[in-house]
Amino acid sequence: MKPICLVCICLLLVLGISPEVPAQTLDDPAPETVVDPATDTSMRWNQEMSLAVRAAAQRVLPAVVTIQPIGVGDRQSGEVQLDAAFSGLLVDPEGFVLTSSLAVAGDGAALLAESADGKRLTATLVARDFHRNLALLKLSADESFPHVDLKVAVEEAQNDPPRRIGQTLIALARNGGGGSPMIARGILSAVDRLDGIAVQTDARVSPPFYGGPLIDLYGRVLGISIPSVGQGGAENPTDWYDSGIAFAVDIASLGEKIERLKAGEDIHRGLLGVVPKARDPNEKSTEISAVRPRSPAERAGLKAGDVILRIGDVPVDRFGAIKQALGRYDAGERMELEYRRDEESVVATIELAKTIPPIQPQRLGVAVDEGLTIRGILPGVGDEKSLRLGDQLLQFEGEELSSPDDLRAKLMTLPPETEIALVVRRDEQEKNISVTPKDVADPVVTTFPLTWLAPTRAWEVVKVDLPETVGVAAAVVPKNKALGDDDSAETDESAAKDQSAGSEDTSAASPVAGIGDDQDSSAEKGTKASSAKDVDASPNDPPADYTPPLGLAVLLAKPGQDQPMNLAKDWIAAAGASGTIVCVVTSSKPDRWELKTLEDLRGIIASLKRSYPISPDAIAIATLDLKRGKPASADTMAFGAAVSQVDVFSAVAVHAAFQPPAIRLKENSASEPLQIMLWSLDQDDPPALASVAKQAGYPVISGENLDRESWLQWVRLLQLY
Amino acid sequence: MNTRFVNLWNRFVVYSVLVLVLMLGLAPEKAWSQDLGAIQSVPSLQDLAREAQSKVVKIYGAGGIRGLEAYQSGFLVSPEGHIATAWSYVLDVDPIVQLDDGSRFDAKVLQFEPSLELALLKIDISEADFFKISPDLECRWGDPVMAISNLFNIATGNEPASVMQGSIASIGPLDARRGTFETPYRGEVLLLDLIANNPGAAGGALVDTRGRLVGMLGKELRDSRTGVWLNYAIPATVLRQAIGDMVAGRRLPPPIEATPVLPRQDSHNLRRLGLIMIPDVLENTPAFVDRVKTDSSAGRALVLPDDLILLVGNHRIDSQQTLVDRLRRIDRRDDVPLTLQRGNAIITVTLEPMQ
Repeated sequence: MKPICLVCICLLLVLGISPEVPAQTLDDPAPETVVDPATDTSMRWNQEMSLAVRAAAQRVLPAVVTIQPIGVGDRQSGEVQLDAAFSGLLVDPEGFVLTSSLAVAGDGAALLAESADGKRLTATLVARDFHRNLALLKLSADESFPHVDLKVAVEEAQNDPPRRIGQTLIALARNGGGGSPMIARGILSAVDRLDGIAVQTDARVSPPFYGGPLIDLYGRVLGISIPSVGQGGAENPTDWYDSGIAFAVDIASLGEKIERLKAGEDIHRGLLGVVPKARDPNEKSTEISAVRPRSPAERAGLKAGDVILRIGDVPVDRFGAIKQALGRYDAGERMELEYRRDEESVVATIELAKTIPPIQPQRLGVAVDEGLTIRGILPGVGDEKSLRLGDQLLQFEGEELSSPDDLRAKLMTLPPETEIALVVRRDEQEKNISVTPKDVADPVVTTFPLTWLAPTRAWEVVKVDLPETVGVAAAVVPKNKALGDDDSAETDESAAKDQSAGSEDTSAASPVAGIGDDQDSSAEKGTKASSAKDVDASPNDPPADYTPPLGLAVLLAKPGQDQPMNLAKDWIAAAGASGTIVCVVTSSKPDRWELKTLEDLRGIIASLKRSYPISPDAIAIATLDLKRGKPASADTMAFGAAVSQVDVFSAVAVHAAFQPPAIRLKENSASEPLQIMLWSLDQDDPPALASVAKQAGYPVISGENLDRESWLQWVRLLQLY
Repeated sequence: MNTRFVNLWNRFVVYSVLVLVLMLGLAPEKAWSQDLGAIQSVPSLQDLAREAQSKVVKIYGAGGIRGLEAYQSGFLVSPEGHIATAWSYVLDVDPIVQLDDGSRFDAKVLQFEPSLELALLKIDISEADFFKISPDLECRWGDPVMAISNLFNIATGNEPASVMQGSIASIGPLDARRGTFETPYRGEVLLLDLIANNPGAAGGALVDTRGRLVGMLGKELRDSRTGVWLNYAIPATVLRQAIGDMVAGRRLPPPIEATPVLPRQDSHNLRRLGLIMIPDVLENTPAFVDRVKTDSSAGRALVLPDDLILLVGNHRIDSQQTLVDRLRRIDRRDDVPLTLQRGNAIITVTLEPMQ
């Protein structure tokens, strides 16, 4: 009982005294407050934690240096100045420093390093790891530096002890200028991030930490902090600083490769060169649709139709998993790949490449339906010896064709001027045919296959409202019913409603007026229609149930232009004549475009696709003042939208002199190819972007001779194979 | 009655054992992994946080135009209603102070000290709970802290201010001249690894895990070195003297401007030092030396052509403009310490003024 009394007495004493303390006693030390045992434990826990954090940090801090780029100017990555003081980790007694590639991104006049003891030294760039966004620097001094032995760090990381999600981690840096230690404490959020090269932490990592080590409470280095926002997370890699979502290159993923960097060799991501058959990387399929020419996959003997089973030690069942597994390998590294061909399992050893020659997209000039039956042929393409309307495509260079996407992937990866062998079914018989596909950009095709009768009436303007975007978009679309129907007025109204609600069944209920229903329209349409009819009247006349899908052109207005309904009215005739839906999108801000518009565009397009039979391969984006006026922010926005969402858009048309957005142009993808059309293109003096885009495999097309209607026709014809 | 005391006593014993285990030098990580039961009994700092919250006030004043918030935070520093807060446009009018219990007071701005970003308000009250500021309270980087403020004006009426937890990331000089908000404060700050400095947080209290005041949250600032938003507090030890003097009604010494630009004839310049730089034709021409006058400060210090000037004192020289600007801030009678890059070597020289 005695101790309890003591506690009580203490409590009474304290309670009795404290309220009397006057303001002037600022100089008095704060009286020890007696707190309950629970709070006391917590205070001690916190105290212990801070001791542990400092002890762990002190183990590594002697090897942490600040790296300060000099003479970079006012360049920035998002909010972060490129001449900011970053951190680096000494990994060798001779003065090799591992840091984030952001430290060398400014390409300045010099790099100034400040070591733990305050010594200032120049640092020179030795090599870069483009795959992991790291740079290796060398300090210039003949002395032995305190350092972290990477070999030991890698061993520790791999063996002892296993990493546990939730364990405490500390990001380390030095506070530029004074060089005082700087920490951010958090936990391990995840491992195997960024395709297997990074760990993730919730520590508030701000720019001075980039390039510095991420350690555990035992003072072991787990990784090097790098700026990253995951895939498509934000505009700039630094945009997630201080957010609680931070990444560090896993030291285990770098491993022995540090020796390659020390030898001055740059490291790049390893490329394989296969095109998936499945459009969705999460679909359970690892079948290859095409193999890129002159790629490691081709050299290893992989062929279209092979099914990938394993990458290294990792069994794979989706292309997403293949991407993740490949993420661990660098260019020049060899890895084992197991695949299945004709029920047999084969193991190949493949050396991954730094680059693969870009694609040069080709096409046959035909439209096919889901069953690969030819439903339209460009004038001049089909003749007696080659493809005909109604042929069903069965094989491509000896490979079975499974879907239109498969056909496209194969055509995209074809070298130019290659004659290919096709097998088609015609009149219940299989026939061998050889054709030479043509470059998609040459010539610019705007003439419809003769079987596609252009509609001339019954198109109207409707609002395209989504819950989050109201009043910014309007589209010119085909009316629900042909003119003359009794209930047309009512249906039109409900169609607009259905469409804004994104209803699924609208398209089913609306056979698109005029398009493809030749029987009704040919009689009234005079000579053009009837001549087309004549051509079609062959033994291979396609069944009348086929309706060629529509195209979709998204047109961005100038910021400040509003009332999309009015703006869209102007396009009724051209849209109707070409069979391409025109969707006018205005900016919600009167002076500029917002990034959020990118998301809105996706929603708007998805809603239109649900309501109308739009070909997913015939969606293009351009500016509303098509071919008129000067380059504007809408051009930049259109281009940015197209290259960042190649899964949505198949083409973009902008003014040749536009200001390209600050995003990296990825290589054109064989499974989701994009075409770039430029207005006012001076062929003798093309903009820098044109050559960059060509090298990255994008067809760059001059839109000079196209008027509004023919441009819309070109958009719709993007769906040709 | 008895049983309750016994229970309390048992709990005390359990906690004491836990504390002992911790104090035996086991890293917390190990301790928790070995005793999962302990995690459930890790108590929060609720009592201390609640006590500290009660001393933090909401301040409403000028603003509201140009997107500037018309509110901030403050904390009581005397039982008679002296309130320390950040000096800002919010105090352009006599503000209204709302205490933790929801009571509202008209406040007077008693004094302010721009060089410390500090202002002292007074409300008419007695026997209020307040923060005492200890003269010898030492905090270190890595220490856990709680930031208590009315950030984003989330708390209204008698709702208590928001408590956030994190650590002191670093203690070092503030270098924040970029951005919309500037500060004349040039002393050391407590940099934090939590997102403490949001609109309305300025003037909030930073306390340690014993509930003691260790700093005052500063205004929103961008770091001039990185361009990014800073999370920081001005140390209580720096504010203590000023708060004490203000409460006691003593005058403060006038603030000293860190390094003002001097009149042309009083400062150094390139010509006076004997430095001829490469032609300044770019937007950011690096500070490469083209020629050096032999009988000059630079000549005597053996500065050579092609040297790249990296630093003057501790200030980074990004371009010839920053070099010229920096020299304007050094008295012509003072030495000019330079850090140069020559080839791969870093050289420090001191240019002494010529008589």
